[in-house]
Amino acid sequence: MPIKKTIKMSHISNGMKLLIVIPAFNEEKTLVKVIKTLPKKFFRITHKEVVVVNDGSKDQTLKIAKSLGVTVISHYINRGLGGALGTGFAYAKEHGFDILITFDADGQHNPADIAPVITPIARKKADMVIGSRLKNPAGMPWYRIVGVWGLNIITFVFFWVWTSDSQSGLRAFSKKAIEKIDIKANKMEVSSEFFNEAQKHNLKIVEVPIQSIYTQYSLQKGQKNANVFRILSKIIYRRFFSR
Amino acid sequence: MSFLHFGQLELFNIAPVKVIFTIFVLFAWSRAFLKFRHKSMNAKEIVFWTILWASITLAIYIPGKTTLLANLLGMGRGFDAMILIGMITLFYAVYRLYTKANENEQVITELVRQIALKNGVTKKRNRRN
Repeated sequence: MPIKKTIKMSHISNGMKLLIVIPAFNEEKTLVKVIKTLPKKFFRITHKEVVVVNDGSKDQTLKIAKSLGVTVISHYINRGLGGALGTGFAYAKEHGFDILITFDADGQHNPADIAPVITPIARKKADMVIGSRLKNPAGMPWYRIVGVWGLNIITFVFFWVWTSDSQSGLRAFSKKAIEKIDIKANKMEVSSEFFNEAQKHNLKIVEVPIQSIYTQYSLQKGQKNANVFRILSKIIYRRFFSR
Repeated sequence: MSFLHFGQLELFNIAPVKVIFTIFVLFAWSRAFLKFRHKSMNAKEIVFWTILWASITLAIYIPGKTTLLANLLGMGRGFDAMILIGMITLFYAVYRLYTKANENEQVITELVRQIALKNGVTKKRNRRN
């Protein structure tokens, strides 16, 4: 047993590269705080890079992001959450990252939750980790819970993957997942698309409870329940009609 | 009063809807013809549109055509058959448009992404690590 452990540790100590992708569309109010509060070091991570994908923001997001000492990739025009995350994935593929984390720019995630979300991947126990807000939904408005549950059921019906939080913005992906996942969705429906890709490529999904910080700001920015219908139509299209 | 019966040719007793449709067809064809004259349409295309509109105009004046269609489809009334065919055509058109729109959205995203990765990256070493 001890020998096995040594081998494992030596493999990990080769160094894992972590990329934190923060998609940002008009997030000038929260971006500074989100980036400044990110943990400085992670266990088993030797190289860390934070990349803000500015998705055609109309406010000062781009300027602020550039002043924060992080990598900034800027879309000329707004393409939506899926478009921004896809760019983050393309960057990770190009630069050979081992772990990719998606982290919302609206300040709804607790930075302390990043470490537990990475751990299953660093330990090679998962290819995709979902930070689930629904495992401990305290403080989450009831209508949000209803909306997320609705989309969980839709995700299950169409993609045959059960998750307690299909719409979570805090997720981690292994190198295999980074290489296999091909994001076609442009907007919020991307959250469900990840599960479609996971099922298609046999990626192992693990859920980790996370805390969500709901402020009036993040509630305004986030998903609206009325979006469910749009997402549903896109999912049906993706599942049955698109190549 | 609106049928052009066989046997008793009532040339001047044409239903207004047929007249309106004929005028519309002429208008549509004239648009195509103008495009052809301005060379934004080639000879093949103008022939296609001319044949299409001409056959539609002819079809308008064939009596009992919808009933014939309904019989072919096993339906009672010609009107029902027309509504059914119209709906199927529209559904298909909507599907085609939806697919095209989605494809275009993806192409635009890919374009924006490639431009961003090529020209829009401001790389800075992370001071924290």
